[in-house]
Amino acid sequence: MNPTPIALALSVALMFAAAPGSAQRVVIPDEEAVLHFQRAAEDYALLHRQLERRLGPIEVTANTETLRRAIDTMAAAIRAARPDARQGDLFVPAVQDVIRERIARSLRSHDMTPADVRAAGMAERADRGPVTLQVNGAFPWAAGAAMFTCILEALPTLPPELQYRIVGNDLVLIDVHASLIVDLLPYAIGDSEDSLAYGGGR
Amino acid sequence: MRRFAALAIALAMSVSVAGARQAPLPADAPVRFAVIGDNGTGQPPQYDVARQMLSAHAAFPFEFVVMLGDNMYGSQRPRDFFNKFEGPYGALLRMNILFYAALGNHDEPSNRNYPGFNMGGQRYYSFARGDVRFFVFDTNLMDPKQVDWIDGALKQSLDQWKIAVFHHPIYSDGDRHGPDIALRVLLEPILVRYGVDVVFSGHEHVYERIKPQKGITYFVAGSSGQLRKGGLTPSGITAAGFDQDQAFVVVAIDGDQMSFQAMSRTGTIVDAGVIARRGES
Repeated sequence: MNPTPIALALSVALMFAAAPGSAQRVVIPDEEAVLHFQRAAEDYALLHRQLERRLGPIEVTANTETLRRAIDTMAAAIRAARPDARQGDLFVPAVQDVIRERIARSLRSHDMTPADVRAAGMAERADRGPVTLQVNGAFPWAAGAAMFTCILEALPTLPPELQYRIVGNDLVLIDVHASLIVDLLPYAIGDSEDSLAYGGGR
Repeated sequence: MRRFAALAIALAMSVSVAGARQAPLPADAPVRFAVIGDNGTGQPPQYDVARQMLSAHAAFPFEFVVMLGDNMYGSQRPRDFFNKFEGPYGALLRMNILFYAALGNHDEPSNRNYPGFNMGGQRYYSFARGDVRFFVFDTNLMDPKQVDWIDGALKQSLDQWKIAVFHHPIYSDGDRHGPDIALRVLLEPILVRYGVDVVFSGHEHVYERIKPQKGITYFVAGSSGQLRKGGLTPSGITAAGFDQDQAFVVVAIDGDQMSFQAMSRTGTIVDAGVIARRGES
């Protein structure tokens, strides 16, 4: 799926707003940026549901090969439907700082630091090798991602097809029915170089 | 030195409790189950625990197993369902013992569609045995929709016993993660309001029983495959703990009493006791 019309429009608006010499800087309130993000997430979910209607839902089955095939088929269909998907399609610039600020505020209110989150995340890592995070790539569940209630409560709600996970410093948006990375927000919990421990695979 | 003292207290506590109740749990209790957490490593200790569960089953024929999440670590391809679940627990599965899973942070969410975990394709669900209803949550994503479901399901339940099951503990003295305070703020008022009796969680790779908090007894049983040896620093809320080997729990509920034993990988009873239903103590 290409960037949604809303996301595109928002990006273009921001480009013009930031252009040197532009007469007036357009300020988009936080809530509006979040609303745009949620609409883009809903657009993604609609695409997912369309494909799911065509392919059939993933059903409860004792055949784990069938289960895996259904997940992989769904992921392949989504990749084919949005071959040009790029980092930032949903986490457009306008919402990136809003989310970073919300996370920072929430961590402070819970007496937590980005270092605490990174340490907890690293503690969950089954192996210490680099993790590759790439839009349209498979989410590496084997690496053991974490999500924290105190961060989750700061984030916009999502349709059921999508979930957030924290990997290193980054916020990852995952299609959990297809185990597919939909978008990435780098340095969502801080700008420490610690995130390099996760490899540069984004 | 403080650490050594803390561990000694924990072990002394475990041994004293264990000494009080070495006999098997009542095999004729109407509700009998086992609890495992953070088990899906596919490594020898998981298989050792599984064998010990089988041995425990001979004396105390539990009818189902509750899994506290991190049911599979690492790769979750088809062969892993065998290596990390169907293989180790094969003997129990062949006896038609059902496993009911919660999702942990290492679990691929789509594993809810695997019938061996009896989740019915749902992230969160409930099931009942006799007078006992289990409420299984997905604490990887405690979104408003799930919170509403929890509130509604607990409110509607007329069951004598209410047991909540979820991966991330809201009380824990584990060194690695500790309690999830934000989750506690969210969940505890609901659990208290609707009379939940007992909570089982994992995530921390030790065994711990917490003294009742606002009337609810909390267990952390996240060492049925993984182990963080020495990973428990008991505090004033610790009732018992064991961090020297893998462990699992067996439980019998009869009327207003819940009897439990925590057993190590080698079959030693490291904690035991009886919990009265809330309002019945």
